[in-house]
Amino acid sequence: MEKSQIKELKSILKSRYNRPMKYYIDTCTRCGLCYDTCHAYDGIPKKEFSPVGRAEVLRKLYKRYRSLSGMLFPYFTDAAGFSDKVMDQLHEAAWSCTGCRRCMVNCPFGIDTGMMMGVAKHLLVAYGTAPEELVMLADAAVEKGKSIDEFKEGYRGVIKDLEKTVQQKLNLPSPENLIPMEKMNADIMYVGLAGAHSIVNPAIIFNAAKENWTLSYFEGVNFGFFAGDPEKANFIAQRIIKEAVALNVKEVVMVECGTAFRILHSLMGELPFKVSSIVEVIYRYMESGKIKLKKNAVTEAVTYHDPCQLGRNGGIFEEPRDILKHIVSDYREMTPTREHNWCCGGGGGLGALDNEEFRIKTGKPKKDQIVKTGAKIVVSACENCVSQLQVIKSGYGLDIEVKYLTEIVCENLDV
Amino acid sequence: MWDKIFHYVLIHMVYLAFAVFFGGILFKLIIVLFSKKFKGSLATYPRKLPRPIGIAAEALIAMVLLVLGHLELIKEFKFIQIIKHDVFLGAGFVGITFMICTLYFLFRRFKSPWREISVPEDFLLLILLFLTTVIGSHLHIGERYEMAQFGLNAELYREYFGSLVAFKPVIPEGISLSPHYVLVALHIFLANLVLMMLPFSKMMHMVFAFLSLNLKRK
Ligand code: HEM
Ligand code: SF4
Ligand code: SF4
Repeated sequence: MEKSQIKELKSILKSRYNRPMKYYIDTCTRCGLCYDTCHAYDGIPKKEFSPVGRAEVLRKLYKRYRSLSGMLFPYFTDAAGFSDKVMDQLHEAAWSCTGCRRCMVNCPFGIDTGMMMGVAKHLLVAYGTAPEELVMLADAAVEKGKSIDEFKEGYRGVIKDLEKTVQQKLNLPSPENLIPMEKMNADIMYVGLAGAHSIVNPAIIFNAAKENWTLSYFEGVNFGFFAGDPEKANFIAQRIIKEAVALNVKEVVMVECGTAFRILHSLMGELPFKVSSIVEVIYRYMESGKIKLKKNAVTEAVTYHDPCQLGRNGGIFEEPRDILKHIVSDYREMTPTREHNWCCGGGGGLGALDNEEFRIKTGKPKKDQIVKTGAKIVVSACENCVSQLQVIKSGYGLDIEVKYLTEIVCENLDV
Repeated sequence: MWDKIFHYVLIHMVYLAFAVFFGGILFKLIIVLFSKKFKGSLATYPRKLPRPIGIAAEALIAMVLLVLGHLELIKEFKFIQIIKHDVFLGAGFVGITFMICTLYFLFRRFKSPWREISVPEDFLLLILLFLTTVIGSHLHIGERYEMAQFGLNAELYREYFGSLVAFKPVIPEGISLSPHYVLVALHIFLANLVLMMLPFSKMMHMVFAFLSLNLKRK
């Protein structure tokens, strides 16, 4: 490895050595309690896929360059400097972690291996082995943020078509303004994704509830965060924040996408507006009677997969369950569930990579959980989870149907 | 020559070890204090403490008893003697508990998956802790049963520890002329090493545990 490159990597180590990282580097006792709590390790039992196994690769580097004991006694602390071999290990560790933080709940010290792998991904960006697909998607999102005016015209055309679908579903006289954009002082700014379903279904719900809302020009998903590039991640998130501030909206509601929700809800610090998930908003409408859902309309067995970023990392456990228990007559819980629910294996940007075989294998604990419930319909509230659940379904030949929460809500809307 | 070395270990190195121990922890805490905070929230939900601390709780109880026991070797503390007992507290059980804990942790590391994730530091710390405890227990049990005219008793240790605390260090002849002097020196040497390693090893989890767990609840 070249000296200049090592220097650059060292400066990244330093810049990411914030307070939590200081705890995480020093505190791990290698007690092994997290060892088998990672779905990747459960699917492929290999040290590098266990939380502590992954974290150790990064910890070695921190020991070597940023800790007194590691510099003085590299043997005892197992410190290691940058080399192509270590970077390859780091690649394997970082790009098999979904950042689900299931290990964190099981660590007696609350060590956030997901965050540590975020630092590892940052190093890999500088080293040049970050997955190209993600880097390209992140660049495209940054580009869109820089020249949004050029995109607006085309986007409005697309939305016009979607408004007709909303009109049909709700039997309204005109499609005009069913999906408002750039509306000042709206109560809600909804942030969707590129797929039409992520806009149509929420638009149906907002219109049914007669909400004063507007649609964002941007997608909620943050490929900068997935790729591990904090600068791009910040820029991509700031696009949405700036738009919401310019429109003076009260609340930003995130599409069914765990990462999009977590970034705005938990990682950007204080914001001048409230951040909610569409799941919370649907629950609010249901409770206040703004929308009516058919009671016990679905008789097949249904189970709910907690997206890690909504449940364990966002605290949204009850809302989706209450919604489903209203619509569904046979609701079944997975075991383990809630904060101990197994990650499906599709998060952290892994779902956007060409790694289907890996994702089928590491989706094994999720498959086992689903099979055990005997459910015919698996509902989730995250784009990544739903597509990964589809992969698990076809990979293992499961006889199930996978649905978005908004989808099952729209199907059972009493209009 | 050995006399000189023992003298150094029993006096200078003890001061050094305590200075490194407290200074090191302070140094680590200051570094943390001046580090960049994380601007967002690292909470997991529901916001509660993780799995029961389990076996570590036993190590912790033994640890508290161990510290109290050593305190009583400095002088008689009324508040510790609220429940009447012989010095050293726990009558040998503290040492045994500690040995069982360290041996359990050590043997565990010889098998998978701990074997793969362990680094030399993990073994070193446990071996040091184990050896310190074994010799410490020997010192205690030897005295308690007056084995083979062991002749090292709490009064002598109090004289020695008391002089250290008063910064007028002397090694009583009862200790330095005893044939078991070498064990005393070894126990103190190993304990010094443990104290000095503590702030710079994973043992910092004693301090950081509370801070990192707190992040999870914010
Ligand atoms: C007071 C001083 C403490 C000492 C001397 C101490 C010592 C140790 C030692 C020697 C180990 C064994 C490491 C190994 O397996 O190699 C250990 C593990 C551990 N310690 Fe501590 N510890 C202390 C405080 C704490 C505190 C305050 C906590 C929690 C809040 C804690 C939680 C743990 C846990 C969870 C483990 C791993 C247990 C396992 O392997 O199952 N310790 N500690
Ligand atoms: S549970 Fe926590 S302390 Fe134990 S090995 Fe895993 S990360 Fe380290
Ligand atoms: S965050 Fe999730 S995927 Fe990553 S190591 Fe922990 S359990 Fe495994």
